[in-house]
Amino acid sequence: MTESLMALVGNPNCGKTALFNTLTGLKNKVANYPGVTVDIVKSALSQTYGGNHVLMDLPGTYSLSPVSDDEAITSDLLKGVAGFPKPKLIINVLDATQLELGLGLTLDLLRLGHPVIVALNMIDLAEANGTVISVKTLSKELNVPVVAISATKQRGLKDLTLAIHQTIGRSVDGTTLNWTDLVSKGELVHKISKASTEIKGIPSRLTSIVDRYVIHPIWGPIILLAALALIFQAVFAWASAPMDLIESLVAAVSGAVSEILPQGLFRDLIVDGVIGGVGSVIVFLPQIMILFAFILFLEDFGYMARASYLMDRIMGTVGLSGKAVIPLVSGLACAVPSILATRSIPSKRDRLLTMMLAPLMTCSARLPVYALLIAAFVPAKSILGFNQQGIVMLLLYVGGVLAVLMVGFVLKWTVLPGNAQPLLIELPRYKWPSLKLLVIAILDRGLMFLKRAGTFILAVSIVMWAVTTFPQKPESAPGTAIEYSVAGRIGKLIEPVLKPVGFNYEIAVALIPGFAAREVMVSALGTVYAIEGDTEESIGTNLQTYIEEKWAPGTAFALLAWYIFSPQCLATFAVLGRESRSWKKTSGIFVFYLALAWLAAFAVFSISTWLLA
Amino acid sequence: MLSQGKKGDRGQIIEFKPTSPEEVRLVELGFKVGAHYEIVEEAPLSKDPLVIEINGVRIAVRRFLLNQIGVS
Repeated sequence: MTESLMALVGNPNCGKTALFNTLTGLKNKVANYPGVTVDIVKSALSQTYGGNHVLMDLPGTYSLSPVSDDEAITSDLLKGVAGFPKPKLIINVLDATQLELGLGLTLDLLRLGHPVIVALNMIDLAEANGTVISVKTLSKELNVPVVAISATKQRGLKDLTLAIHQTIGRSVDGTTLNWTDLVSKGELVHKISKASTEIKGIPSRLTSIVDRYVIHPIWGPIILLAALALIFQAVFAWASAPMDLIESLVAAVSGAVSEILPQGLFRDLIVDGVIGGVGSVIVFLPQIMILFAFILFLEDFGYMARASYLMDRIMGTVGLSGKAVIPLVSGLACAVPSILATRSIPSKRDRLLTMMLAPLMTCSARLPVYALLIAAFVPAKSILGFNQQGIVMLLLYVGGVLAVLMVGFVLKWTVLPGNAQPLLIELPRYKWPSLKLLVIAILDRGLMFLKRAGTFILAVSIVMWAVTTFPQKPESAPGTAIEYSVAGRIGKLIEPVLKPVGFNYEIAVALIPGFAAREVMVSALGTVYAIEGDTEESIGTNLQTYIEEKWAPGTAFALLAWYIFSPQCLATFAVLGRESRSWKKTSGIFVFYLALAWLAAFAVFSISTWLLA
Repeated sequence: MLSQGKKGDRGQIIEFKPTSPEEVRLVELGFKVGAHYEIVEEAPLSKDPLVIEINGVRIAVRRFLLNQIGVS
């Protein structure tokens, strides 16, 4: 059997992605669709479900008349616009608890002329709600196979597999269902839904009971703040034990490798370049996974749409839509998924504004830099029961959010004038996510991150090692080895520009690889200071005592301020350019953030020097 | 007009001729002539957006988009 392409299509919140993850299992999923600037999630069916065929998870939509960029992707792809290959089968996922809402899209899909099967998902929830849906009637009305399933409870999947393999690639005659406009389409949808549904019980009150508090004008914002505080706490407190473990593992590996390999350039490359560079990044794996665990849980539970609703007007004051909340919260982990998540924002202007601001959110890659500087320069004393170091960390996060609001305000009144598009969003029913599927989704994110660490960051680390090592220092020459390297020379060149903000030559050098990936700055500083660490001890501890002695506190605080604004990293701006489809705007915002970083660092350095004098 | 509704209002949509893509989306989400609705909640402070339940589906929507919807 040859591999054929199938498309999974349905409303947002219909359980489409749950079905996708069930059918495909844990695999490497994101694929760049050829010819377009879009990532579509694509994977082969797992062997349990027959293998071979490739399934695409298309962005959710309510019809093939798109109102947002990601809905346009779905409709273009299915209509074969821009040379997309025709899918051999459309699997239309319908939410059995709100059949009528989904059927409008089904009617659109039937007109396309591709073979369609309907997966009537969440049948268990519909039954619990006292709604009985006749699969037979629905199948007869639509004239396509209908299978009742529950993706999370793994019900009906055998039948679905059977239907997939029977229907795929078949030629179809087109639908006999006829409608001319929105009104007649609505009537048809209502008729089909009514004919196949029988109400036998009382629907669940869960959503209206939970919503009494969650969207309440007073309780709602309190719950939102509490949720954010909990996420914040979890990312820092819960992640520290596994992070320590990874750190000591990396140290052990690098120690063992140093023992085995003979002294020389090759050992330096492996230990400092490869293990040191990649090791300093994979330390963040626990934090990224914890953060995604919360985001994915809240999304599946149905909370994120409520957060958008609650934040809509506040975001509006800086020209953003309530829908910007979800992408910006993802930005706490990494700006790249954050920029990709802006696709769900309907208006081009709002989307552009949100992605321009995404790099300002305090992503987890800033953490090692913040952690290093705070540990070195802020005493671990407590004021009023709060740890001073923790307070400074919190201030830096607040600084990031303030920067988003401030820059948003500036952009709203300059390059992106106007107001955000009025909010229109479905608040899905609350439902408990399936633990198994949640774990799969979280592991997926973890794998994606590790893949990045193993490829992009590995490459950057090796390049960084090379530019800080070559050309080598001549035997008898004076000074440190780094001064002779490429990085050292560039550092010399930009040093005068950075002098007014209190940055020394070593920082100037370390900032260069920092643009490739922020977190590399820490290991770069280590390389620049040529710390001959005892391999037993981590570079971090040595570096901390080193800069504590050598830097003025003003310099450290200026560097923290610099890092709030500085346009990083390479991957972020590459994605920004691709997603905004405007390299002009992307370079504009790059220069703007660079200027802001300089100004912020200058202000902080001047003030703290004056205060401490 | 539905755009002038308050928390707790219930009624039926008697007139809606969508013109913009967003208004078409409203129809697709269930804002059809004849549909029963309830205004479940108003946002803090500004009382905008609203949460409206229609056909058992909850929708958060800015009042601005409801200007064309006549209700009884």
